[in-house]
Amino acid sequence: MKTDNLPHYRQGDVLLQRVASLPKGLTKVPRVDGKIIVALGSSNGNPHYFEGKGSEMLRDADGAQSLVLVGKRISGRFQIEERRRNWLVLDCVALGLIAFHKSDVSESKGQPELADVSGRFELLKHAEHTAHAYPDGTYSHVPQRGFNRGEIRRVQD
Amino acid sequence: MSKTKAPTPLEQLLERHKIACDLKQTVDREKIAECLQRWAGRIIKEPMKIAFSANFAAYQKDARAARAARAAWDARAARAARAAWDARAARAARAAWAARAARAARDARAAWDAWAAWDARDARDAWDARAAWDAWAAWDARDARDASWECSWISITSIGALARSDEKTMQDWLPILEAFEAGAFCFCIKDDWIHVATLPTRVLVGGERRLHCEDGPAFEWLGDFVEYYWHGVRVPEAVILRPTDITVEVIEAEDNAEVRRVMVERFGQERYVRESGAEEVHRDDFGILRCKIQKGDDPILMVQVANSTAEKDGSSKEYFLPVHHELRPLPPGDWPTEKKRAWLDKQKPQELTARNAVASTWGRRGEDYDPAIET
Repeated sequence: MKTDNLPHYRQGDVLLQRVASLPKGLTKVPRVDGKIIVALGSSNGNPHYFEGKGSEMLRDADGAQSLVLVGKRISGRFQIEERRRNWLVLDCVALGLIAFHKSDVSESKGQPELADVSGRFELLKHAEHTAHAYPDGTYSHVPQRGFNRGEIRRVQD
Repeated sequence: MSKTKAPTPLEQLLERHKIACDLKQTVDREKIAECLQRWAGRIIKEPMKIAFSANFAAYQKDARAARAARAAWDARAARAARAAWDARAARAARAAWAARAARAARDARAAWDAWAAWDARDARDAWDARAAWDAWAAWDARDARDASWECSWISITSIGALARSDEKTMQDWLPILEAFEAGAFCFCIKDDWIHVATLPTRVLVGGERRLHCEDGPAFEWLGDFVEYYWHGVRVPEAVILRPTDITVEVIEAEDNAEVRRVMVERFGQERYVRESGAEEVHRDDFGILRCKIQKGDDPILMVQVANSTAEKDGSSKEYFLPVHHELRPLPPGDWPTEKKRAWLDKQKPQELTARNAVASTWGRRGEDYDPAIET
């Protein structure tokens, strides 16, 4: 999977790397209650999930997850609620607060508190995190790991 | 003297639902049975018998059997009547579950859209039924949960239908709200039986309406389903009942990052840093790297990170993530041990910085870690 210069995004213990293409031989993962569950919080029941009808999650024989994200159109001029290193959190009114990569929005000239959005985005949601806006495309899920007492284990939450 | 405006039928129904969501109602089994039979008569169009599950284990068994039976019916077209019933019930269930999952109900059917238009979701989130739902959602017996109908949520159908002036749909689903008011929490359907689980007997929430109890279980259901929560995080019983048993060693032996965070909180973060001997090595925008020297062994390194998204009270959850003592990028945790070891051996050590430490938990080097968005 080529990832040269393609962005990666982190929400809690979920990291999604945009990739140019997906490997072959993947199997579609069924939705749960209409949601694409990328990671399920085992201790608080709060999953990281997508809901877009056109999106899907796929899995290889080893359990590695990939995603094809097809979002909905989001367009308009929105209030900037927060500025961070590489991203802006916008108040998208009915959609709530959403974090966008700076390259996916254009800040309004002369109105530093506003930003324009125009594009298709799929939203990664979690009860304890601001939603993330992902441009349509293919992504791979990178699970977080920890090194504890000499053992390398997947980080659970 | 001004007259107080009488509540509309819709407002009355919404208020009834809100009161029921406080889960304070007395369980009236006779009433529940009558309501569910009435609902079954309108939706399933067949007489149904009602059974009350004596405990969680029995309900789980019934729900699993219901799920299996539903799948079997789908495959047996010859049972036309049953298939018709199943299709109808499953369709309704799917719509209900989909709406619940979407929460905003944008993609769900019209009655749910009407409910969403009310924008009462924030209010609902403040009710105890929502907290009970959290415990339900954390239930890992997904196959059994999938076959269940949760009354607080499904009863919203009647409210949405009334908002649309859809009298028939409202009357079809009103018995579910009435059953909920009489103390039904959820039910599953198998053959000619509706198996009912009554309300949880204990639902304790903290300031943010998350399941929480400092000295006992926060959730008890059907006698044998007892769970302990600390501000919404399900934790082992000992974390709540025997906090003095939490030690640095116990914290560092815990694999679950959320549970470990709660243990540190109960133990005291400053005390943990002090007693664990973990001294600050480096800090940057990504976190604080701490190191604990061990005699005759490799040092223990951990990176202290905070959620970018603040809690409602303005605080941020902090986590301690254990990393390799040379900050070598870590391989996926579910690889076979030998493969992990071989992969790790090929990785070069990194300078001891917080950024490099965080990057290593994703199998990356610091220079390759700069998320477009990070919360």
